[in-house]
Formats: sequence, C-alpha cells, structure tokens
Amino acid sequence: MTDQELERWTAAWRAGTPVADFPLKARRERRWLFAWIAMDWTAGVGLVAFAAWLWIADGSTVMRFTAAAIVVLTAAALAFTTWNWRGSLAEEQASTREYLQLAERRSRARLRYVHFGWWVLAADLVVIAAAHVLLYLDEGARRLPGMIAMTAAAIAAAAALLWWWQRRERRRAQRLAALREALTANPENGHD
Amino acid sequence: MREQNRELERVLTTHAAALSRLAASYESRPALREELMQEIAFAVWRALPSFRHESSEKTFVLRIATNRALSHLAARGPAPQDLDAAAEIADPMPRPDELAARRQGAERIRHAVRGLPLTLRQVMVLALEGLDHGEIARALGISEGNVAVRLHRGKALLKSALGEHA
Repeated sequence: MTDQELERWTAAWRAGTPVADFPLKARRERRWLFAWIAMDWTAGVGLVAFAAWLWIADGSTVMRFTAAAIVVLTAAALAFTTWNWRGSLAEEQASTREYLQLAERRSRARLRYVHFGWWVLAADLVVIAAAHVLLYLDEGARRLPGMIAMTAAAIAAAAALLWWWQRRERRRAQRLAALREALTANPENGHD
Repeated sequence: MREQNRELERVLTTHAAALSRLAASYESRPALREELMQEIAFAVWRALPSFRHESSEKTFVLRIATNRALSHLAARGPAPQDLDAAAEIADPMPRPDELAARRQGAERIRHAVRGLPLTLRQVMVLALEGLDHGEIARALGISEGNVAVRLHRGKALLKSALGEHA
C-alpha cells in the first residue's frame, strides 16, 4: 500500500464533484431560523393579548383563572424556546470526541425535558379540572359537555406529541451511544 | 454583520466541493443529503465568528461538517443501502458482476468510502480531502497513532472494495 495509491484515490474522489450552493443553503437556513423564532414570539404575544382580553372583557372568575393559566404556560413555553435554542447553538467547532459527549448531554437534557412535560400535562389536568368545577358552580352544566370534549381532545393531542417526542429522543440517545462506542474504540488495542 | 455575511459566503464557496463530498460520504439519500448540507452550512455560519485561526480554515470547516454529519446520523440513522454497502465491504471478494455494475470513477470510490465502518470512514474522508495526520487527530480528538492505524485499515478495506488486489 503506497502513498501513490492514496493520491490516485484522492484524484478520483475529487473528480467531477457536484458542488452544492452552500451560501444559498446558509441564507435559506437563517431565514428558517428567524422565521421560527418570530413565529414563536408572535404566537406568544398573541396568546398573552388574548389572555388580557379574556381578563378585561369577560371578568368572570373562570375566565380570569383561564387567562392567568394561559399567561403562565406561554411564559414557560417561551422560556423553553429560548433555552432550547441556546442549547443547540454551542460548540460546533469542538473535536468529534468532545462534540459527541456534548451531544449526549444535550440528548439527556431533552429527555429530561420531555419527562418534565408529562408532569406539566398532569398539572394542566388538575388546573383544567378546577376550571371546570368553577364553571359548573358559576353556570351549571350548560357548557360543561362541550368544554370537557374540547379539553379531552387537547390533552390527547399533547400526550401524543409528548409520546412521539420521547420516542424520537430515546432513539437519538441510543444512536449517539452507539456512535460514541464505535468512535471511541481504540484500534491500537485491536478493539476497532 | 454585512462583512461577516460576505466572509461566510467566501468560506462556504471556497470549501463547497469538499463539503459536498463529505456530506455525500455520510448520507446517500438525496433528500436527506440536502438536509445535511443545509445543516452544515448553518453550523459553519454559527461557528465562523469563533474561528481563531489555530488550524487551517479547511480543517475548521471540515471538523464542523464532520460533527454535523454525526448529529445527522444520530437523528436519522444510516440509509439501509449504506448498511448493505458496509456488508459488501466486509466481504473481501464481492461478486465481479456486482462490481462491474457499479458506476465507475468518482462515484465508485464514493460508494466504497460510504461503505467503510464509521471510524475508518471519518479518517479516510479527511485524508482524501488533504488533511495530514495531525490535523485529522485534532479534528476527531484522537491520537496521531490512532489516525495512522485507522488510515491503514481504511486503505486496506478500500483497496479490497475497489477490487484492487495486490
């Protein structure tokens, strides 16, 4: 095996490369990033404005309770969005070994966040049940069936999302562990 | 900001061919390869302000691209045909009709490189892009001795996969 071989392969490797337009891709990706962040914040501001309207326009105990819950949950979601982006925007230029360790830490953090999400969902159920009781005491059972149906649909959608996310993160964590194992094997000791 | 964007465009244009080849060596599915290239372009944009010229620009860019490719593999998993390719490489004597059916030249070597085990593929891709042992070792966070061993094994497997027997 000679260096001439490597040179020959290098020439073949580089021949006729279909070159992608990377500057265009960077611009496109940046636009996506800004659009995502703008969308998150627009949705957040919209929800807070809606909560303010509920608080002022309706004024009933149930609606004020709902408005306060919307503000708290929106603040939590925006805090997570900010934290999530910060987590993904670090250490791109680390060595592969360090990068994989970091990627595994991030993956574990995301899994912890999903587990936290299940607790938040449980807390939501308690808050919503309390809102339903208040509604029943305020107005009787008139609007209750519709509210319960809407709530059940929303909770089911959130649970499905959390389940999908958890499954995805577990798979990613398994692949990362497998990659780390493969890449940290030392061929000098015959473990490659 | 505008100056930074111009610098990014220059860096990405200069290394576009190397980045395209690297992306193709980790992802054979066209749509996912596009996605990987997009992720690489974005990662380079983010990392560029922290470039301190402690390594060559090419080493810096290829290191980021290699890391992104690993994230991509962790998120998407390898393509089934790449696993098939790995099985072919593991066989020292692939069938002559299969070899003949493969496309010639550049595509042939890219296919063979894609079929290498990940540890060897990382080193081989960076070597084919012209990085020396020290640069590869720093990019991957392994020793130069380790690079030499992996490169030796990679060359042997590549030779066998290309049907170039001594």
